[in-house]
Amino acid sequence: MDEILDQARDIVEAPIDFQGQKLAVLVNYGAMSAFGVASFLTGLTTSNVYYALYVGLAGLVVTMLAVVPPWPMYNRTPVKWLPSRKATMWVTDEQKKSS
Amino acid sequence: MHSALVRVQNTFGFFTTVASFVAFFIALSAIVTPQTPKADLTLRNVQVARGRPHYYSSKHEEYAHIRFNLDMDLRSLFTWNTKQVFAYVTATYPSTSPNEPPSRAIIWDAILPGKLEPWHQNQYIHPGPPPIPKGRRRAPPAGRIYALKETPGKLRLKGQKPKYVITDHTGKISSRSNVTLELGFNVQPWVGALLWSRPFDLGMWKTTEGGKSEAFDFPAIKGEKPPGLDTVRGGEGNRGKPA
Repeated sequence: MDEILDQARDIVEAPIDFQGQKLAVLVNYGAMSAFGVASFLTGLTTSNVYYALYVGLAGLVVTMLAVVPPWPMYNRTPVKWLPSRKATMWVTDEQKKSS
Repeated sequence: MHSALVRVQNTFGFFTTVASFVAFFIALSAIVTPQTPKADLTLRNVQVARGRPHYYSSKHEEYAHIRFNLDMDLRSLFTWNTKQVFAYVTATYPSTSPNEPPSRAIIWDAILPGKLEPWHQNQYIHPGPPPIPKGRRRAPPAGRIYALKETPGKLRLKGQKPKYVITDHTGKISSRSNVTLELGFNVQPWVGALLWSRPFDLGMWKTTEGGKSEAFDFPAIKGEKPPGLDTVRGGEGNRGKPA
């Protein structure tokens, strides 16, 4: 039962690791800003505010697709947790080496 | 950014920031565009007539009916950020008491759409050419020269009827002197602040060149009888009213 719940939570929450979170922030800022500049320039060159609006909204969709799903590039450095204390009261040398 | 919901929120939050910045720069790009509105406004003729505010009213007021010629060029107001321009002609006349400011009333107005504005029935349609006289083959060349969607902001009106006849709270408007007509406009952008016509330059925005008529007088009412010669009102004037 717990495993099923864990899987369900993973699907809903879609967690990513710490390095991935940093990367996601960068991708969000970079992509959205680039689309903002593109949106303004498109409008200015075509003299059409609608095109500026459409490029901006397209930018939102693309950024959402790039940032929100837990892509593998956001999960490349998973956190290695220590084993739980009930199994081993202290950390063995072997475990220290492996972690 | 650990869970999908937080990422959705952060992405959308930053999108709103970017959107407001883009909007700000769009408004700014219109500010640095020079504006040189021009207009030539002259009086065609003016009449004052007596009338009622509505059919069942027993109140009689005097209404000024002002016809004018307008040749205006507001094309420089139409930048890529201009949604529409509201142009209007006002009549300004001094009030009877020197302590009160002059009265100002709109006699005609028009909504001039920009190129991207979808059509709406309230938008101004430039009048077409005058009807071709019988026996002549070709239309006179002064036809519908200013199709609004191609050159928005250009108008040439001859003997334009007013949209609104004007009066004021005294109900007496005949024989007033020193009346001037003036063209005003209000630029409505897609993004940014409204801009009104003003009597001074504002950076690269020049004030309207011309756009003011010479002073004229409201005439006396046509066929006005001297006081005391009015038709005597009998009891029929009170018909339908409680005694």
